[in-house]
Amino acid sequence: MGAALATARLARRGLGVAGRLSAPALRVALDPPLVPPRWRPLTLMERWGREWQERRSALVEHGVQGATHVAASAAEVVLPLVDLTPLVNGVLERLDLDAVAAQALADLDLATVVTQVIDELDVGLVVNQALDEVDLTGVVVEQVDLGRVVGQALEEVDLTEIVLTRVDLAAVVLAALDTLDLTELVTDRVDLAGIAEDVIEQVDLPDIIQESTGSVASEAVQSARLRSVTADEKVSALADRVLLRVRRGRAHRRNVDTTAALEGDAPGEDDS
Amino acid sequence: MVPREARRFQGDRAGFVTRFVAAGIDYAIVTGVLLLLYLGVAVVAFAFNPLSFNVPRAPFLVFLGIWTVIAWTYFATAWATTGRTFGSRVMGIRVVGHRGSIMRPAGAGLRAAFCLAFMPGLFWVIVSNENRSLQDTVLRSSVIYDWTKRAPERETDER
Repeated sequence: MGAALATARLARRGLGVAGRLSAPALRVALDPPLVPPRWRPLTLMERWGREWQERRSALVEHGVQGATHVAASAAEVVLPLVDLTPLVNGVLERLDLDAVAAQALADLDLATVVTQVIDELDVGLVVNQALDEVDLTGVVVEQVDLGRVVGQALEEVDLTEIVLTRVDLAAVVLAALDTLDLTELVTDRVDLAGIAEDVIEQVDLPDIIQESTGSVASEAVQSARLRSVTADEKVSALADRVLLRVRRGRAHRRNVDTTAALEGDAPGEDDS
Repeated sequence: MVPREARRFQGDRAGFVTRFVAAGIDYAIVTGVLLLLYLGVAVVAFAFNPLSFNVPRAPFLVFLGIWTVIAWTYFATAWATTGRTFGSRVMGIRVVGHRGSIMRPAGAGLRAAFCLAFMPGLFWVIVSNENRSLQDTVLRSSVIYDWTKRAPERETDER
């Protein structure tokens, strides 16, 4: 390493010396003083350089076209002469495709690729095109165990809850009712006469009428009785005053035995 | 159920107004029965002799007598069975004996006869310090407020 460095330094120094020594000669050679300027080598080199820069892109393009043409012609000539199949088979035999694929997959960021593809794809168009070309119904009917799928789905889904929360049942029912002639349906399908007979048989109408009218009558009678009792008390009080008598108390009016008998009984239903 | 406001006077002897109204109802019923009887007789008479049919006529005393018989039967039967006629039932009162139980048939019959013979006896309720009519005072019966359904038991021993 030290030797190499020493050599490099020496070479550099040598070149510097050579450059300083050859510079005047080189300058005279390139720009001779007695030659007209247009014929001087330096002037000629500068002109050629400018011309090259101006025509470089056109020349390169021309060259590439020519090379492509030549290559295509050569391929046309060569490819028919070559049996590619054994060649490719040989390549494939020597290739470890699994390893290559694994390596490719490992190198690829599949998610990014797929995202990019999806971004660039008109998915709607693709799907529509695919759906146009595929008889989905036929495929599903033939290939899918529909009973099992539906059964599984129904087991996992609380249909009642979904319907209750997501469906406007009132609107559905109203729409259904709008389309139905309920009167006609009932008239056609329901044995109204039979139902009416059953109801009348099961309901004791006379009993109900008797109970309801009895209740009303009972209230009216009770009211009349209470008013009558009040009138009794007023008449008694008036008589007491007229007869200059000490107001008679309840004890005088109380029928002791009867009271005992009545208080022994549970209050019964009024019979009026 | 007896209403709360009526419970305080259940078992008390009834006053004049209530008894008077009840008696009025009962006399109206008896009069109605008499009228129906009269109509029945007329219809029967017409059915048997339509050509020479005349409205049945009878002296007032005959009507009065029949009315009295109907009334006596009605009162005596009612007082001896439930202690209440229809009028008493409407007004929520009941006729009981001196022990507070349903009168015996003889007592009920006697009271009915006494009431019909001397109707003004009811006015003694106003004067009486114990809300008793003249008949009640003599026969030791009582008319009480009783809105309950069940009648007290009948008297079993002699007064």
